[in-house]
Amino acid sequence: MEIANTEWMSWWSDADWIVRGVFIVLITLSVISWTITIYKAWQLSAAHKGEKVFLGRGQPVAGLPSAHVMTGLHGIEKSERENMAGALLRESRLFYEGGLTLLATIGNTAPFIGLFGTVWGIMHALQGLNGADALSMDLVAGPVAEALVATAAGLFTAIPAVVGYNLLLRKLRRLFGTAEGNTIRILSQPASTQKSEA
Amino acid sequence: MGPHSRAGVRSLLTTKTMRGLHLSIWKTLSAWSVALALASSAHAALVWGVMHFAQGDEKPPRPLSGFEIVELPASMAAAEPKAEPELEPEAELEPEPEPEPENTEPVVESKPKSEPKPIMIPVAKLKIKPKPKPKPEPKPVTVAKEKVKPKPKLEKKAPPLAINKPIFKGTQNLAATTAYVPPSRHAAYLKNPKPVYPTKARKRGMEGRVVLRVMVRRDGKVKSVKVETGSGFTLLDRAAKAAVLRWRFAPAKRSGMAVEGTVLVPFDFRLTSG
Repeated sequence: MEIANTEWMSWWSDADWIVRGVFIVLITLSVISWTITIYKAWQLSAAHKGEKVFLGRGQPVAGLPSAHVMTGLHGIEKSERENMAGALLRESRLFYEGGLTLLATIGNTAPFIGLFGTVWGIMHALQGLNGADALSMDLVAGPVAEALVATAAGLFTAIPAVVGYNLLLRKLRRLFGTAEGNTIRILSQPASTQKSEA
Repeated sequence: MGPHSRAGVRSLLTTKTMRGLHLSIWKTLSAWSVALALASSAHAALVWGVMHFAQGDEKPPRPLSGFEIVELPASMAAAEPKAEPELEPEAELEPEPEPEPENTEPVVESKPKSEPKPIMIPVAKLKIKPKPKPKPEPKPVTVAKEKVKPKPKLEKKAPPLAINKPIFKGTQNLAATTAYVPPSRHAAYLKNPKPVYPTKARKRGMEGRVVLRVMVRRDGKVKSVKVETGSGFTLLDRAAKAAVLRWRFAPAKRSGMAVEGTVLVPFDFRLTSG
């Protein structure tokens, strides 16, 4: 453990601040993307479960798209109800989409950030060697391997973000498929039976 | 019209209150923090795992602990400024015993201990090879001793040192009284620290021989340092230069008078598997 530790530390102390900054940024982005994925997965799953339980009967659990639709439809004239329901559903969708854009951005940009760190590191490594008249593979390979850590970190950040984004997108579609069905169920009910409170 | 605008306001309001509706703020916050904690701990576990595995199958590619910087005998590099011949690689090997009276080696050996600079001490132990006294060719020994890789480079670099020999021969022939005595770095009162072996250079396995041409003023201070023969690595050249710039020399003497003089100072940077 100690050996590995010192080695990691030595890699760290070898890098300049640009490379270190890239590394820190990537780790932070990775933590953020994982947090978003975990939270949204839980949120969307819970909402989907609530929608499936509701199915147009009784009162939806607070916060569900159907609850938003139901609350918003209260007191709306019959001719406007359909339009209003669509708008409310879209609003609710916007709310549930929150965070997905950030996740997609992280997934797209993290590889480039990592690449930037690597290019920078290699540039510096080669500048350090400029005096050598005979470059052995060994001398070039070491610094390049060190610089590639940044690219690895970029991919390490990007892959889970992309996977998480696709997963959440799928969950979102499922949730709103059910929610749209529930909205139609709400609309088909006679207005008098609806209660305003959610 | 009326219902429209009323509906718009209402939906806006409900959107705004939606977060509140969805779950209580505290529940949302705690859900976020649970997610954050999960993500962070997953990362921490991953980093730990990588470090653990890195220890398992990867050992340091370079012997970082062992290294030495050997000052080669000054005799190899004494030069009178006037009679400076160009360095051509014709006079390769002339095994000639060199009497070198002023080379008091023990002084050199005690140097690192009295060295005031803190940088050298912590990194690794500095092994000082007992200098081969007046042995004219320390080369085969050193080459054989190195087990680390960049061999070809080193051997390519070897010739330039041998070149210095003819210079010495020239000075040797002068009569003792009018003799030009080159600047010396071996007087007992001079505490000249060795160069620091840069950590980066050690990690990357940079080895080589640096020969510096040092102009010494009459008061023994260094006027200028030039790299006579580079090691091939800017790092090593710079380290050697930085060290020698702080050195004090016994000034060169001509007929007992201190004069400006030039001296060649060679260093061997080499890694050992210590």
